[in-house]
Amino acid sequence: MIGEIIINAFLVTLMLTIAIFIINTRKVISTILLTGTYSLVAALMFVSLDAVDVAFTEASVGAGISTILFLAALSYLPKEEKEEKFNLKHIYAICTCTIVSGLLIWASYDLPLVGQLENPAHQHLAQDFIEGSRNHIGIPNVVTSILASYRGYDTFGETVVIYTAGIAVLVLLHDGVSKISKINKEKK
Amino acid sequence: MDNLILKVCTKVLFTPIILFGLYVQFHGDFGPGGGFQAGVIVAAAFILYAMVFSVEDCKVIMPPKLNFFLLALGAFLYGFVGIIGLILGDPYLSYDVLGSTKEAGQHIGILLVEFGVGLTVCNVMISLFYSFANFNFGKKNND
Amino acid sequence: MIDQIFGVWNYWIVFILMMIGLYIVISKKSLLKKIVGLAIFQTSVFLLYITFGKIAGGTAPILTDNVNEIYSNPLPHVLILTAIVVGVATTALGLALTVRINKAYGTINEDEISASDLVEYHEKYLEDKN
Repeated sequence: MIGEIIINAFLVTLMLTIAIFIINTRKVISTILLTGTYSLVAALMFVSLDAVDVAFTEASVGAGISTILFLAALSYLPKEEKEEKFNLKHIYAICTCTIVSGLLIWASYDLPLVGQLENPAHQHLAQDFIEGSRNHIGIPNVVTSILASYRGYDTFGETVVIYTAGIAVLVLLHDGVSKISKINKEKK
Repeated sequence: MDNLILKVCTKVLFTPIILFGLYVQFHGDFGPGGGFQAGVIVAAAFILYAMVFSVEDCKVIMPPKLNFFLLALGAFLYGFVGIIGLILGDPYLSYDVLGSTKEAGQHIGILLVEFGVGLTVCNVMISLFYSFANFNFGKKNND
Repeated sequence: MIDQIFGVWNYWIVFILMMIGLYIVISKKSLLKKIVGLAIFQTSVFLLYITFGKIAGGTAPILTDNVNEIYSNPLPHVLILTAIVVGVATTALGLALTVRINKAYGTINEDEISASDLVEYHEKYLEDKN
């Protein structure tokens, strides 16, 4: 129990440290690599919170493909950010963020403590899903049975969103512009 | 890139990565895994190939037309499994009637649906990489 | 005492991470950095959901033969699993837009983009006036 708490506290603090480093990095490549590390630590965090499926996804998608896409986009973008002086806008932003995080932390005292069995989140649907997965569907992995069967509409929507995003990127980065300008030149 | 070690390692690793992707895809009922993760892993194999050899070489083993077709086929397969249930007299996306018993129907339905998700995710990731790698930056927009 | 502190410790870190993401989105001028800020915000929300699903002494929600086993709540896991993949698709869309903006304007700095927009607008205004 105490070991779990120590690992947990260490990992979240590591995430916080990485995030603070991301704020002030000006080289874009270090920003991207720090973001990949952040995702990987988040995946470890998910393992320690018993969410193995989510950890698997975060490690392969967040730390893997996302970093590759950032690096691929970086080859067309400036490699370093412009230096910026600390000005009044930054002070406003810091004030806003501090006030909001203070309010949220104040509100967190009304949230149930982490990991209690009697928390409201565990009272209603979760038990039905676990029993239903055992008796009705007959699949050991409860996450898969909820994903594909109980919440099938939801997953269908997500699949269509991914499909649409893929098509949108294809449209944005497609080579059609140069083809149109070539046709226009021939007409002239 | 002209590095012999990288090329040989990629050729050796390509098939095991896809095999691992298929394992994650079809073992998702019993352990961690499923369509989303498997699609990304299979896409990673193709992206590795494209990075070590070239995007043109990768387009030989995964032509863009096939890529677009599979991209649409995955989402279509998901919707179609729901429609089969609808035709056989059940609510949309309820898999009970697909098999001889309710449990068998649920197994078949979940397997097909996860396969559709895997196809879409895999091909979206590959096409994202293709479009970022092929984006033509040489000319300004206004010439 | 130590249970009391660590019972809310995760929430605190999640809220601070959220605000770091928000700060990056508000104050940084580079569009790429803003996308990174959004990713940080997103991951902190994922962490919040998974924290809600945790049960101390439970295991991952994969059924075993032991009937008395306690499983952590699988519902937040499902919601976040799909959200992660959608998140990377939308991140890619944002990156594609950034690349197009860089091609059209030659910069991804917010101030320079709006400045060049103003110049263009002003030139058009002068042309119309003449």
